[in-house]
Amino acid sequence: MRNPVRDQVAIVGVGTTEYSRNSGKTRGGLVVEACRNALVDAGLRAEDVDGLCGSAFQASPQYVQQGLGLPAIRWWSTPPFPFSLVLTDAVNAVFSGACDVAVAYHSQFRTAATSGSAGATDPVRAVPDPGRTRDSHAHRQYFEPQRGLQGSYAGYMRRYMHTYGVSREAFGLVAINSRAHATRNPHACLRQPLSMEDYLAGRMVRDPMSLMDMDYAIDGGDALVVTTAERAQDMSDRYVLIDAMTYGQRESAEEDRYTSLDDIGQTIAADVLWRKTDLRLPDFDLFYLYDGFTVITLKWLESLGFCGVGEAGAFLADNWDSVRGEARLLGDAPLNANGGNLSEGAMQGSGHFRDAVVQLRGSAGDRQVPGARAAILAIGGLFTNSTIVTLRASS
Amino acid sequence: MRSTESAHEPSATPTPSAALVSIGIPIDYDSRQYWEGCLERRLLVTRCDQCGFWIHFPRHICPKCWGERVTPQEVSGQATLFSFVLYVQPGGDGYPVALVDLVEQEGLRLPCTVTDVPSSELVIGMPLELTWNEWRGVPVPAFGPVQQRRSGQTSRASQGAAPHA
Repeated sequence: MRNPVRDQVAIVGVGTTEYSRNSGKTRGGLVVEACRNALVDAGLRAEDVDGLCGSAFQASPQYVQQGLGLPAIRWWSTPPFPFSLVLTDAVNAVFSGACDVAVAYHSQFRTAATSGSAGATDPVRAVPDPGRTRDSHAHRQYFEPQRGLQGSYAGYMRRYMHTYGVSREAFGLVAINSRAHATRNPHACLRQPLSMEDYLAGRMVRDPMSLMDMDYAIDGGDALVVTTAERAQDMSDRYVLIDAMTYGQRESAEEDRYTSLDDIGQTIAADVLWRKTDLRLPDFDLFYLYDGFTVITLKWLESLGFCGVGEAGAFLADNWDSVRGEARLLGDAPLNANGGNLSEGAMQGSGHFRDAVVQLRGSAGDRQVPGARAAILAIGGLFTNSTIVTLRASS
Repeated sequence: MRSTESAHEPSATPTPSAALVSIGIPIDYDSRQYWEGCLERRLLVTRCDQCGFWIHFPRHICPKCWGERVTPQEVSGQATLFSFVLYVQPGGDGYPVALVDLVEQEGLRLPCTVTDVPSSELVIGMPLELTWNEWRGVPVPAFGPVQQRRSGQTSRASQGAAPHA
């Protein structure tokens, strides 16, 4: 399958903000702060940037351009999240020549829509989150009178448990693994250790899904600077190359329409990936498998081919390092080394990408995965937004 | 089965459509007959005249044969439970939000609640039958236990249905 973008586009800068439950900043301000930090990291000035890409729910390209004093932008786009959709749009724009230096950005701001406690004490947060409100006709006509679509992932989890005879402990391993990494990551919001007993005692919200199965709402921002591989060579010895990018979506794309547990976009994204990249699972040193809900991570393990359907929980148990209290894949590769959405904080994948870039540049400090050369980022859920990006270190 | 009331002509009296919009259900030209069926406690599902494919949520072009002759038809009300979630509020019992598959076609799925079945007795794959709940005063489909039908009794799906021209 064609993959002309391979090794042609590079990530040359990474920036973030503090991740917290209450930043005292706006969602747009968090974006601008992360973009500034990414450009400083890349050693670039305002005049060097000619492309902007990010979810308009967080900050419009106009807002970011003004906030950073960027004199001339000649390409922009506003994809929805997860962040992989933002990054891949920026990569394609650089590859096509629509722009030469694009900043891909994302932020999150905790509101009543994503965090039950957010609106209770702070009127600033008692507002609907435009990024989470499904204002489609379908939602308002068919789901709202039935009290919501939020059950879709939990409904999938129950069907998965029923079909394969899987208990909640399988999902608990995903949560415990993410937390183990977060305890060592100063950037992470949830850093107290999590035991299986703690997991099973989590407050049930969307039975069979408890708070422990759901990502942790935070304030934060991330940004990556994207340019051509040719220009990256002139800028730094250490940058990160795009290897392959795939999406997957099926006919039954709406979250409640799947006819079977494998009637999901993940399996398309994985099938296409293995035909685009020359890398294979043992070639990767870093695995970031989306953990917005624990069931998504289990399903990514199956879709990527680590194990058969319904077997991901047993696979994690078989590949569990009981000393570290986390999974180690294919010998010694970590899973969600930043702590993921579940414990570092819910950033729709931008946290996973930020950590992958830092690790592949060899600049993760005492969290550095030794010799990390390649990363696979399977970002997004089951249905409408399954994507995979593979990254390689330049040197 | 199409309503004789034209959506394009002004009317002096509030139409059922206007009443639905006023309570926050933003009906459109695809869904209008579905919701007017709900007002009569009749579950209407759009079906392709050409190939017979059932289309829910309603659309005006059939996704299977691409034809554009579609008609809402009343369904049997028989279904099976595909999956369900219990919405848990602190101090309360879980409210079941379910996905049910109508027997008319594989994957013909409705989001709805399940009534009159204790949550501990909900089992994926169990048969269910149409009943009705109310939301802001409007009947909305729900599903409950299959009723033992006596000879000559009509199905619950058609009870309460107004005579239709």
